[in-house]
Amino acid sequence: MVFSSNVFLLYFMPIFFLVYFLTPKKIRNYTLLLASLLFYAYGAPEFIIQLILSTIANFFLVRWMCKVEKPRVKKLLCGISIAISIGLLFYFKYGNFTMQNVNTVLGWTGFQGFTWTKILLPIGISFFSFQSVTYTLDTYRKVNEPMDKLSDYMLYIVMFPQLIAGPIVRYCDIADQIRNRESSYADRLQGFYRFVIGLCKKILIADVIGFQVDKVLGPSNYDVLTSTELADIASKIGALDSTTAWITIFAFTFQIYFDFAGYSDMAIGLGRMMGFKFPENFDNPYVSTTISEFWRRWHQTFSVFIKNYLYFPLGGSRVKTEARKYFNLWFCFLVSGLWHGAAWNFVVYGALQGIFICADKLFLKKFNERLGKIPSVFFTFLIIVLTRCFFRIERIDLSWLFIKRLFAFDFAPFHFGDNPHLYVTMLVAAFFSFFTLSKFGLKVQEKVYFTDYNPRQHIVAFIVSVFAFVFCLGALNATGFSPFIYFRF
Amino acid sequence: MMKKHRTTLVLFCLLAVLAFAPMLQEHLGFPRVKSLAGVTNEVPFPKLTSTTYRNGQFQRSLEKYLQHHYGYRPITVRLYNQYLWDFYNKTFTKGSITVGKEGWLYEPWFVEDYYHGGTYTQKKDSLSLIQDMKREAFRIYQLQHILEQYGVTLFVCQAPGKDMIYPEYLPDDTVTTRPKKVSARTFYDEQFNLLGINHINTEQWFLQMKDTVDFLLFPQKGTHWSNIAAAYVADSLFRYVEAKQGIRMNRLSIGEPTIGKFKKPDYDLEELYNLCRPLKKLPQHYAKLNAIPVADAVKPKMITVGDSYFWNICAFVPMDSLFESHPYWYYNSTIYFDSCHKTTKEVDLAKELLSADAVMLIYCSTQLYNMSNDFCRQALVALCYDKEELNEIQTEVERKIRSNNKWLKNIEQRADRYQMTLDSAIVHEANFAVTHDIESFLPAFKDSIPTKRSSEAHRHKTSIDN
Repeated sequence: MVFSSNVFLLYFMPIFFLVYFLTPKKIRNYTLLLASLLFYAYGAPEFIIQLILSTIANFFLVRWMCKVEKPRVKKLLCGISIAISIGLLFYFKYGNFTMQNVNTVLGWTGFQGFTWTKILLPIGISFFSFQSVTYTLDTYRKVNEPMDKLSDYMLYIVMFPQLIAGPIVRYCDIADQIRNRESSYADRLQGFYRFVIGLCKKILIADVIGFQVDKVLGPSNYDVLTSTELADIASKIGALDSTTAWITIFAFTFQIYFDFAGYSDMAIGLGRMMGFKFPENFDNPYVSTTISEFWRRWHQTFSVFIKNYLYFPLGGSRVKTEARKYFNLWFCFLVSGLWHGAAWNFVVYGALQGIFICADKLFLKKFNERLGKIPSVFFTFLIIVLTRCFFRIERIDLSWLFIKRLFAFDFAPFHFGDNPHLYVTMLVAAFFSFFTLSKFGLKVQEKVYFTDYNPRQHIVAFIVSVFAFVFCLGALNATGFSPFIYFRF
Repeated sequence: MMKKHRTTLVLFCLLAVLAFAPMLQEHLGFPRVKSLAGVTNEVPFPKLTSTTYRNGQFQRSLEKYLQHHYGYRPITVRLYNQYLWDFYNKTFTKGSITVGKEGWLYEPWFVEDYYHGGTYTQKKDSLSLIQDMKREAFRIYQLQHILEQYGVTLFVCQAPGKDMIYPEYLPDDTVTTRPKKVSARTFYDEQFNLLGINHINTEQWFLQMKDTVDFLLFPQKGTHWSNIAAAYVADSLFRYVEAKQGIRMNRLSIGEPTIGKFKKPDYDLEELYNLCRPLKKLPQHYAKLNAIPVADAVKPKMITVGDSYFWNICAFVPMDSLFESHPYWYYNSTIYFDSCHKTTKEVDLAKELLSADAVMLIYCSTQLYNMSNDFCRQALVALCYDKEELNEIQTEVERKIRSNNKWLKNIEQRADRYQMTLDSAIVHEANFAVTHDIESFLPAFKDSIPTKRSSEAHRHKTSIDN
């Protein structure tokens, strides 16, 4: 189920909250758990059993792990638990990709390839697998005690606001809230306002821009296309003028931000309505002055996960040689690229980000400092925009063709009147992306997102939110439905 | 603190009520909300089965269903459309409106027809389009002659398209690479003159009238002729029926045209925008229409088969005072103004036609490509053949199919494709051949004017002769 769908907005959400708030506090977690399982079962019926079974297995493995005294057995159990989570992720997400490549290599060497039935990707597997890894490791490291109740653990894994696309909530950050939490009426309202902000980002900005991006580059998932459709896209890209190419890639850069940040806002808002305080996932990433800063601001919970559970175990920066340090950094980004999708374009995307991060440490950061704040923001933004080509276009040859069109310098005249809706929306997106470059922008952000409202502010925010909700509903149903980009990952 | 708590409590309760409002409105139908204009494909509530649930079909269909079925939907869509219109001069009408110059609106197929002819919108090549239209014209000719023998006048009214009367407001043609192809408007006009078919082409008349009258013949924001123009057309049509039937009918009196409050369907295209606020429009004239009784007047029965252009006539002209009955066979499918029948499928066609005094086919320039909507073929078959005879011919065709290897193989392939048994595919093919390709399969239509008649036609003729 998607937050920006009629089923969710008009039925699931009102009914769930009504039942949730009417149930006694003691059994609210059960209500939430049941709703979350329904939520997942609705969208991915084929995988609900697998999700439940793997969660149960992990819960008992971790309990066993905590009870045993011998460190070697403890380590072994921890390994098994992680292997289950990562193994499932690998099997479902990278099985097709691996077999495809193995068969290609076998074909080159003259051997016959393996027969392989394509596997479907369970929605949200990248997110709940990571959460279960944090539970195992945080418990192993004794950061937190294991959950007493299976239902509480399941709730941590399958809680519907963050089940499908994060934020990736670390066990240590939420363990206490699962056991005990409060939500005042003000929290519930502010959660709703936050949800509506996310809905607006998704429907009024990301979807409007995305429509144009899809028109030029085809659907975001090339797996579903036939060879004729792919050839069509290739010929379309090959015939692009540079103006359209630049507009398209800028558009996608804004689309992916508002799409994902919109989802995160909705998840955080829903959580807040129930008394959860989920970690923030975005902190104005496009105002970053360096690529390193960008990755501290973009998909923050994922970056934290990679840092804590991959970069540090690799040795982080406390390694013997500089080369190893840079390799660790680069490798983490390579993995994070691959996390986004099982395709070579994501590998290239991750590798490029890793190279830029290393370059940052070596010289780029100093170069940016010399440029000054505003130029370095735009320079960093330009790097992000260019690398996004490999993110959006799921074929390396087509990404490269697209980049060639960007730098072909055959600019067609730009007419604002051709698609004012797109251009105005892009301007709005750009405005909000760079709004916090100013102190005033930061102040407004602080006020809107992170300050408790007084009664008058509540009334204004309530009216605006209800109006915006109705408006989004109109937009959603006048234009059609589109899922979130990050649901695929 | 207390005040804050009270405010948030009240707002939260209000939010809870608002959250359920769409659900309640949808299921209770209260309060009533003005529905959106335009035609949408009705999405049925999806069937929930284990298969449709597991493969996600149910979920996708449910989302589609809910897109059209939720409380207060018209308000939300109008609100968003108004925003799109105010800021970007657009709304989501799925390509059913073209914005012309000075705020004039057109249906895009009129624009296409004006610049390129109908081949592109019909998705047929010129040659097959010409063949189809030639065959249809000839069927009208045959039907006119047969009906004439029973004292029934068949005639065609060619309604003009807005594109031809107000081309000065059309948007400039952006597609210059396509050559202009055949146009039904001119083609039928030539054919009707050639075959001597009763017809009234209102296009030339409108073009002459355009510069001499103060009122708009087509409204700025509508696609059909204006109400007042329709009234003048109606008057001419009735006079035509009078002349052809040699009767006197009650008079239609058209009052002095004055600017009046907009009436439907004079802003039917604007309505499709589904906005919150009405658009600014050029003023529209209206006139009072009355029927003036005439001594010895006869009230004939007229059947109208046609497109939506007849709506303006039957909605405003006092038809009941002028006609005994005036059923309107809308696109030869739904029947209006007939208490006995709702669709043309229910009608005993021969009986119904022979009981009328006049039959009018009324089509505008873009609908001429589908002239009569198969009415003429159905009428010819009904007047010339009985069902039993058709069944015999069909059995004969079935036998021919079975003995013709090439034909049979072709049908086998189709049966496979549509997962039918071969026997049912043969029956289907034979039935289609007999009832649709009448010129090839029904012997009566080998003659220029068929002389063979169905039992119903025979009976009627005998009763007239007696």
